[in-house]
Amino acid sequence: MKIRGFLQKNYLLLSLISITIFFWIMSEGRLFYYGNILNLFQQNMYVFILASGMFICILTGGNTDLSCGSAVCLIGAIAFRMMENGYGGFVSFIVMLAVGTAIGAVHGYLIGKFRLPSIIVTLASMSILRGIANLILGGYTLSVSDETYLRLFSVSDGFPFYFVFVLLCVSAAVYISEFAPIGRHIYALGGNRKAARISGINEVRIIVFAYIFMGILTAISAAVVTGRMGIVGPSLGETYAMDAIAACFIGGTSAGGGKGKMSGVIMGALLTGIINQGMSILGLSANYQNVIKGIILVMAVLSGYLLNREGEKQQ
Amino acid sequence: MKRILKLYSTEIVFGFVSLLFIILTGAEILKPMNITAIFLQNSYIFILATGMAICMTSRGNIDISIGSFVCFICAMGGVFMAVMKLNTGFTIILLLILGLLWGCLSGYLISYLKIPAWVTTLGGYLSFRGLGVALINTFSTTGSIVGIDQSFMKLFSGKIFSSPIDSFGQGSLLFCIILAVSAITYKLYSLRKEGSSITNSVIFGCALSFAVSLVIGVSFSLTGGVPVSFVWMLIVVGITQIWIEKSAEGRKLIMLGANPENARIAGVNVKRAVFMTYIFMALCATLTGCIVLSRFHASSSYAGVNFEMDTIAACAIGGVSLYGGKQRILKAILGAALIGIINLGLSLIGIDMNWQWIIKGIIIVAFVSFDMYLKKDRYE
Amino acid sequence: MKNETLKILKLIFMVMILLGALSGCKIKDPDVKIIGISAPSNDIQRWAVETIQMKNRLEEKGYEVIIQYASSDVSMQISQIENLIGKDADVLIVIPVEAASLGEAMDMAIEHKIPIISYDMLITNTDAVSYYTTFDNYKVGTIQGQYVRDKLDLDHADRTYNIEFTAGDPGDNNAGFFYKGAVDVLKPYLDSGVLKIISGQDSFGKCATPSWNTEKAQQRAENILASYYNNQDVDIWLASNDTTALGVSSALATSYKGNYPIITGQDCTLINVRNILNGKQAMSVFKDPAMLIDATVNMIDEIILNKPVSVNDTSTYFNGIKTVPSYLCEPTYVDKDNCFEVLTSSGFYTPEQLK
Repeated sequence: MKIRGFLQKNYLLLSLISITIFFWIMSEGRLFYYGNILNLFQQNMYVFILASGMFICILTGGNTDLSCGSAVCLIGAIAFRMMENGYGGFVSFIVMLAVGTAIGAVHGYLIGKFRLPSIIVTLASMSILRGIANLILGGYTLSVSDETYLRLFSVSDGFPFYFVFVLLCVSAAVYISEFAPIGRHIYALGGNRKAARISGINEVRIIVFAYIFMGILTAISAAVVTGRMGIVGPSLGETYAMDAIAACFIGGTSAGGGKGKMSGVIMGALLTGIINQGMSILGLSANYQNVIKGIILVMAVLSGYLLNREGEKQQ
Repeated sequence: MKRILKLYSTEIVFGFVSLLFIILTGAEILKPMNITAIFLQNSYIFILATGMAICMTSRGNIDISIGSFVCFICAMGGVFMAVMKLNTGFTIILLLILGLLWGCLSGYLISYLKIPAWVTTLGGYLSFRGLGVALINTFSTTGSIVGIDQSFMKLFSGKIFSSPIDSFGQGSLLFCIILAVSAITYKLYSLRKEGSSITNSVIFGCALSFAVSLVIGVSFSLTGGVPVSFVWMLIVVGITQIWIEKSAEGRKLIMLGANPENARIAGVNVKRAVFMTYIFMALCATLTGCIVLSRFHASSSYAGVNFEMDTIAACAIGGVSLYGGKQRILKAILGAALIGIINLGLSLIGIDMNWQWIIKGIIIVAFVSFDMYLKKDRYE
Repeated sequence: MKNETLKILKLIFMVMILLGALSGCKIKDPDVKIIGISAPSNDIQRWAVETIQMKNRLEEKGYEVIIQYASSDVSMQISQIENLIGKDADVLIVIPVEAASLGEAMDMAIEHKIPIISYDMLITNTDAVSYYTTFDNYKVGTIQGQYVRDKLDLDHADRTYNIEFTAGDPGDNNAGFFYKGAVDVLKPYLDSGVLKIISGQDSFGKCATPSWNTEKAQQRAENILASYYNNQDVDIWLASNDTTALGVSSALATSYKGNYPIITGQDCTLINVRNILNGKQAMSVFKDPAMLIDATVNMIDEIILNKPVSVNDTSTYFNGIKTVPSYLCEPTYVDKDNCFEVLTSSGFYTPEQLK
């Protein structure tokens, strides 16, 4: 019984550890080189940030944001065009945040107030935002040379300053979900909408809040991704939304909302990151990365479900 | 007025948008070749939207894996035919088995194990695209497997009743007229059997469908025959419609969508019903895979890109709600046709593709908001 | 109420029928020849610029030109080619999203007897394609290989050099040619041990970059650098084109401290040319679009006037069904020394763009 209880609580951690060991052995120890550990975080920064925002959205009742990849591209394109025209890096960053907030607010309002299905709304805005982004880029790949921007979001003096932003985003999500009063409301709303409404929780406000949070995180993610790469191209962010959603679900967030922990999401993001990383070091084709991601996604959710069901039966 | 708007919102938007594109393209969209193109180029949306509408009937269940699954089926078809040199019949059987397997697996996970549809099909979305592309790259160095059987391509693409391009092929017209007449006869017969009276609006509906069939028939006649994919689409839609309306299984499904509580009390096996919808969806995707494979003449890693998006959009415009409720399959078909018209119209006008993305998105949000506003009372 | 709506619907229907009848009366002006251009996407700088230039050139000659961009989607491209045929195009210029998969659209072109010029990438798996204009793709790789050989004087090398490859999209027929062209030049040195691939990733499949994606190229480069180049230098990074070269140079900027390697590229994308000027990339193969456009426009004139079409290669490009008569243009390369002059004098970029 004890073993089952242990498995039930830690199956995610255990699979994380076993996969890490697997790739560690397969890559002859290369997985743990300093540079590769750094790469692991750098290449998956966007997953951590976007999954944090996505997590809060999903908690409110299974609402997702499919448009965040397109939004990253649009926000990056706006900022780079601004800097090209002589605006400072800091001003551009403020504008990025503003655009992110605006996008989030529109989503939240449509989904919360008008009760439109989040899939339809964000699906539509995915194509709208991608279209606008491409119009701004005009087929070109833009680069950045602004000092401030690069200092904030790129490697300066060897210290990757942008980790601060990642940490900030993740801890904000942890704070909101675990400690803040609104967090309890979010869980309540996702858990039982009717009951939440009867108990006087303002549904619209919470959903708008969740999407604005997502929007801000999208902007930050745009900043760190474009800062690290130094460029914005038309195909930026195409897989981001699905990666973030996958990390949430692997991390045990309930697709209907109301259940899940940030710790799980972080582990979900790490898990997908290590798989990508390990396979890339081994020189395996990128195609299989998605296959394995998909299988792990279903396996993780399935095993979580099966273990919990057994647990419920015991009780 | 609002009541009528509510009942016919899809039809009205359909009429309005079509009119808009007729004006914007200078009536070019009504050229026979372009009317044919609506069906030829968007057969996949019609078929997938039918499956998706059935899926959504069971309260919020969705399938986002279809585009990737289409890619996977294309790749497997190429592997079976071009690499393993199997014959057409055997390939089709194997592909159907694959479709059935995925349908059973996803259906089982979703209905019996209660893994959310979102998660399960997201897994499929990631896996099948990767698997399909990996297969193609394993068996080919150029990114696509060529060497698809001629007989396979005849079965899923090309034209029947084909006639030279500059002449009038009576066969196609006759085919459409016979179809229209039999559909109308069937409709009237079943109305009579139910004991409903034949109202003016029924007559108008019949006349309208006959006229539309006539226009389509003439277009096909002038452009070299009836596209095979159009025939497949008719078969899928026809079977679905009859299944939903006439079989006990289908009625249960409708009941489930309209009111899950009542359905459960009435003894509908909800799990079984949901399970069936996913098998149906997977089979629709398999058929689409075959059609795309023959349309491309090769297994391509680009097969099925964005199909899930177009399909969901078609259903949304067809008033198929993600929140369940009484769904009408035919409205989803109308939604699919509308997406087809938008695709074709924007392409004919020659608008920048990025504007096309933007316009399509706006149309979807606008329509769904409009629909939601009209039906507000239903969700409160 | 209901009757009102029905009346409206009836009205709409009538108008549609009327317009349909009208559209039948629209007659095409037979003197103006229509040229259809189907391109993968205008998100790719090269296609955005070249299609417009081509359009201008053709319009100067009195043709009507219709361009359609397919958003990098094969289904959409098939539909668009069908729509171009539906708009009575006389000749089609097609840059395929993917070489082998234009099936039904090609059948339709055969049905309507419309000649197709395959531009830059060869359409395979069909006999609909009449001509092919391109730069010599194998030669592009050869130039990259030769540049590396000559720069490091590999024939008289007194030390070994570490080399890594980043190849192109496995879905792009040309990517194989680029890779093979480069490897064929360097093979003797790889065999003799003058060049070493430390990561051991030595086949096209292992080095490939899906969709030529910069971010994917960067991730792969970062992981290789972190795993194999902690205490040694990489001397050469042979990237097949500029978008992948960009990924490599970004990776080097963040996770590499040793001597800066020679990075190759292709296409002279604006941002890469700036990198060449800044020393972050060694060279880029220059495929002057003016040459290719000249050849193509010339070909169209000859087709329309029923003259014999000028080609300079009738044996190399077999598309699986037929050997396509081709016109090959010669690529050149630019590096830090000649890039400003070559690119501005050909009008490819203005001097302001390169500042």
